[in-house]
Amino acid sequence: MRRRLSIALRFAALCVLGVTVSVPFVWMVSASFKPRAEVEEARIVPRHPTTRNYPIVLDMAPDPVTQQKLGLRFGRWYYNSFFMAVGITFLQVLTSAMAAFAFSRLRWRGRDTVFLLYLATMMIPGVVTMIPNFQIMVWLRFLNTYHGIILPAAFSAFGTFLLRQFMLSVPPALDEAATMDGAGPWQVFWDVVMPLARPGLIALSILTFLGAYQSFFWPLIMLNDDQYYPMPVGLLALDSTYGRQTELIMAATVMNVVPLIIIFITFQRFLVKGLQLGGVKG
Amino acid sequence: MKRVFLVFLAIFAALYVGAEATLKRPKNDGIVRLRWATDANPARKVQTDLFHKLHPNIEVTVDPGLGGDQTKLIVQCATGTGPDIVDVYDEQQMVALVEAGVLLDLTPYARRMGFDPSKTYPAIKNGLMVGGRQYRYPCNVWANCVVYNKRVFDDHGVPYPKPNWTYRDFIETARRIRNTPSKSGQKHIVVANFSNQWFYDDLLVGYGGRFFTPDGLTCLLDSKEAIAAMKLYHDLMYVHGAIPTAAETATMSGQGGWGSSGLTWFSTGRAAMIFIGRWYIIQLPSYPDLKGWLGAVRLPRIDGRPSTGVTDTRAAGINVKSPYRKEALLFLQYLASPQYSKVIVDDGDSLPPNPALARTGKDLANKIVPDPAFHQPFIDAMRDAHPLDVSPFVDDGLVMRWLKEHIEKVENNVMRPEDAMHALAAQINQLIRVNLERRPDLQRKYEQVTGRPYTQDWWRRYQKPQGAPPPL
Amino acid sequence: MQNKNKHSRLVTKARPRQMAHIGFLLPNLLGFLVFTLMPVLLSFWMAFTNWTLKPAVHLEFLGLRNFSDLLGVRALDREYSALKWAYLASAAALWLGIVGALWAVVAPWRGVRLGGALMALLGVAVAALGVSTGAGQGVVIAGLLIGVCGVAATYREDGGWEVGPGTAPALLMAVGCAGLGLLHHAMWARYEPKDPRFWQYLYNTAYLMLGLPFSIAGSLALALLLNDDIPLGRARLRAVEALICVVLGLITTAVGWGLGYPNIGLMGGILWGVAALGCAVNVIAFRTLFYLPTFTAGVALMILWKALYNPETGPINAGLTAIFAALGLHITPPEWLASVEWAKPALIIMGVWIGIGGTNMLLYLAGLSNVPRELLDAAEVDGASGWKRFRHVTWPQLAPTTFFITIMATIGGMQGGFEQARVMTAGGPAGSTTTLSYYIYNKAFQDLDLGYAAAISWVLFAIIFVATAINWKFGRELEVEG
Repeated sequence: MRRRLSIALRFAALCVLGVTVSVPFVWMVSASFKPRAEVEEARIVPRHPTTRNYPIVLDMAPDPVTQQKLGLRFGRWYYNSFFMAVGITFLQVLTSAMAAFAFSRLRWRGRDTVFLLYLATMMIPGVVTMIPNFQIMVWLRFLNTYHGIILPAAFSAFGTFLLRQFMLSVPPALDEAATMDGAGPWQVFWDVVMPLARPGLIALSILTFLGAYQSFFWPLIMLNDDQYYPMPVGLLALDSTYGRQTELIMAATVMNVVPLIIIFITFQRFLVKGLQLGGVKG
Repeated sequence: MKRVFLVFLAIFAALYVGAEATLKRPKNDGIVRLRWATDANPARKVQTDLFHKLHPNIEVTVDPGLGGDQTKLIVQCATGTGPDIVDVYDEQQMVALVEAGVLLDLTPYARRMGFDPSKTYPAIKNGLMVGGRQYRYPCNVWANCVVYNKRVFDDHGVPYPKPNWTYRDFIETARRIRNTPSKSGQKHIVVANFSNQWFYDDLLVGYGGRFFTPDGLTCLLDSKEAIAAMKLYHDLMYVHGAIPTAAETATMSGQGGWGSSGLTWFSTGRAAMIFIGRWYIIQLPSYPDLKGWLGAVRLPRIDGRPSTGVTDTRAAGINVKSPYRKEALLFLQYLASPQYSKVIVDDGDSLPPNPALARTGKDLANKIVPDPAFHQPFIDAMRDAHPLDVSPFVDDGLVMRWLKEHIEKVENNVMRPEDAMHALAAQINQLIRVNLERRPDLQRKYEQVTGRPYTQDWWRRYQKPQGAPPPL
Repeated sequence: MQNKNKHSRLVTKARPRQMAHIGFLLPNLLGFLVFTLMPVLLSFWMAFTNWTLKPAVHLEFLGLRNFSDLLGVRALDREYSALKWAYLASAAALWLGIVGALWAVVAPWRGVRLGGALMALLGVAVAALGVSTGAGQGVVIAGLLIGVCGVAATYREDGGWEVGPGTAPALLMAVGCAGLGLLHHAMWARYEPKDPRFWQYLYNTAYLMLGLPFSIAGSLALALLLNDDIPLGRARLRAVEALICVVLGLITTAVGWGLGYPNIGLMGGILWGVAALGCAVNVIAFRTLFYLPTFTAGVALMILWKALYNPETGPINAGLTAIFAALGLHITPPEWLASVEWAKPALIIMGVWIGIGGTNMLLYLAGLSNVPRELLDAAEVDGASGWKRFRHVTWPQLAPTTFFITIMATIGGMQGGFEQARVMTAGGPAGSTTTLSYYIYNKAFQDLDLGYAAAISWVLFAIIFVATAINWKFGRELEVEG
């Protein structure tokens, strides 16, 4: 009986917390169905609900006031966000995993010093390195290109640190067993350590994908041509001296978030169903 | 595991190829493409299309990096990759950009091509120049008036503001709106104030106050006019209840964007008045309920003084490093043309740069507000308005930030008005001293301005001696 | 690189193995050098110059002038050197004491118990003084924190009551506090800080980090709750439960609407809807739901919260008013982002809301999956209760994850508050929500004073470095070394 009660309590707590978390989203979705005049009101259900905001954002219907299409290249921006995020995630996870392997399982001189250097550079506020960073981009001719956004973001001290922690919790005895069987470091990496670090890899992938998908500042400064823009930069078009079109921003954000939710739902189970460490333990 | 990565690599490669393949590369068709750094107002398209018709070999695209801050502009101009045409939204930004060496000195070209200051309002002339040289030309010009909602006034049975009204009249009107219950039962706030800084600036200029002495060496924000303006601001808020409190103001201020809630409050009929420029009517088509119910009147005046306020301009300058200088200059020439001014008049984007198109309210009547009497006060306001003054010895952006901070302290009753202005002026004067001490170029400027050689204790002549300042 | 490793597979000597190791590091290291290290070194150089973007100002090497402008004091009238140095010495003593105290808690120093007790007393005294003299929230909060740390140190299992190096930090702090308290008025009547805003923003930054422990603890709690599926019965039963919830939801919404409270009705309906989802897909629904704020992070979310915090029309104050009215209390709800005192707590609450189900929860979920099932089962068989199982099995296994989260939270927290300040408050009423990173941004991009901005960044770096070093030492003790 006590177990039933604790289950019920657990469930109830989660439900209540879930609602608290979801209130702003309900507001967001409802705002995306409101006409401009009602956006600032506290009502969740709009008095004159309208479905026009979505087609306007997708450039399939004209703005009701200017009677012109707004020229928003939503589809292109969507594609850009998505593909740049995929690229950044892929590269970052790969290079961070390899570096984390070097920092956690291999022994070499200066290992900890270099790692501390990585860590130290994370402590510098990014704002101040922006101009020197940008200057480097100009020298490398990275402005206004896709690789200019993907490559610099593909290296991350954060990712290295994270994966190092996960790899540290994999017992070294497994490595030794594999090496004794004649495996080189590359094989140990791919066949022993990486599968066991899968939860960490998934976590990093999700985080990196999200961060890259929503990144605003760097693409803003690096890109001048609107066919390269990712979504957050493209949405600046909805916030101008014409007035902030909150209802359109909300509609765009809702559309933006849906694939993220789908990806998250698909991949989050891998987080938990990692391989069980049935073998040797430290 | 390796297979998973290979699959993702393949997906990424495919997407990349897709993206690159569908890029539209700039064609080598002899068309010059200019980048115009401004905000993404849809009206810009009309303006750039018209320019393209007049000059078919030049295309102007809008680069909307200026979402309220100038980071992108600074970063790009610092590395020589900036836009060709730069919208400069206020005088302080212009001074900063000129000092940063971003803006081109337009003086040699302006008269020849027809966009010198004589081609726009006399009131704004100083707002286009730094050190006697011109650096920008207006895209639009604004001065605030009071726009009021006749329906709300009728609802409370209060007579409309009269053209020559004073702040005493304003306080009385506010009192009547607050204390008379409305016939419809709806609550209204008196003024939808969305920028405390602009409101104070108008009060300061209304009292005849200045930021600095004409030589720029002394800060005048602790003069009796400045203190009186701040006291009036505080009293309007807390004693008379005429303008919304800090809470109500802050929730309506336009951080991070342009379409502030204050405008929406007024537009949805929940406020009686708003202190704003003619650019308010850009919003109007979204709120059809207001059509025909708007009136405008000049800012209230201080007893014994005419009605004055601030004028400033969203003006375009040219990037020094632009490779297309000739074409960019043609764009500025276009801004001075009657065709462009007509677009601005029709749009409702404040006043057009060319005063000839805004002689009376009838000139400005457009589809959005056909009533000429509505537009007339905005034209009248331009006669008596003047820009805020700046000092070459101090960062004016910094001054505005500090001023805003102190306004907020007064609003939140953290400091009394007189103490706040004294503290502010003391800090600014201190900054002037430090700047002069450290920068030889400013010392030379000092000598130029005063005719005296620079010495370490120069300030004893110009600034009050420092006692212990009030706590921050 | 592939070739290098093929080579090493054939030749199992140490040298080629070393090459392979470097090979793993190389891609990441290259990127790091070009895109991270170089800009950092450049910005370090910037801090010692007067680089602005103004061509009229010639680039000069300034030595430490930027730092002195940032951290120093200026005489109002004439110099009172003895007073100044005594005050600075007291401040230095206080800071050394604090750092020493934190180090003492993690290092095996003798005298930690005694030192802890002294610190607790000192903390209570400072807090009491702060309250009685009305010296401001900061003093009271600082006092409370010192007290809490003192109590935590006193409960160290291996601490001793003798006087050892662990007592010295507490005594240093006492000396520092006494000096500061006595000399305070005299000092500030004769001096003023050269950059008073720096200290205000430093306080803001530290204050805004108060929400971090709650956020991390909350993430851990959520991860524990969501680690396994909730046993709600088999599929058919769950489908029935879900259906019931949906029906109840519709009823609640209709009732609410009918009674004239559409918002509350809708909220009730959503509650049942969440329950239905929970019955249907179990934990996945909740994880996704809690992670939603992180998905939508950005301008849209800030606009959202700004609207929520609106004192007049926002749902938060509407709800609070209703609650206060129901309880018969005559308090008006605070003005949140519009008031100087409540702006920071508002941001803290928002930060906790966003962070609680976010990245940290994800990391803890991933970490929990590494906790060996057998250990937990063994402990259960041995009769250990849920809390004991958590404390002795789960918590130590989560150590690397906790270590990571704490370090990233410290680093992120001290650099944080930037987006909120930029989008929501523009630095807040009277500078109350400006953090150091927003200050750096303003200095760099509004005032174009890059040298000074770099100086501020490096001071911030020094603070973060010390905090991380303490964290690191703490984590080292618990880390499972490879």
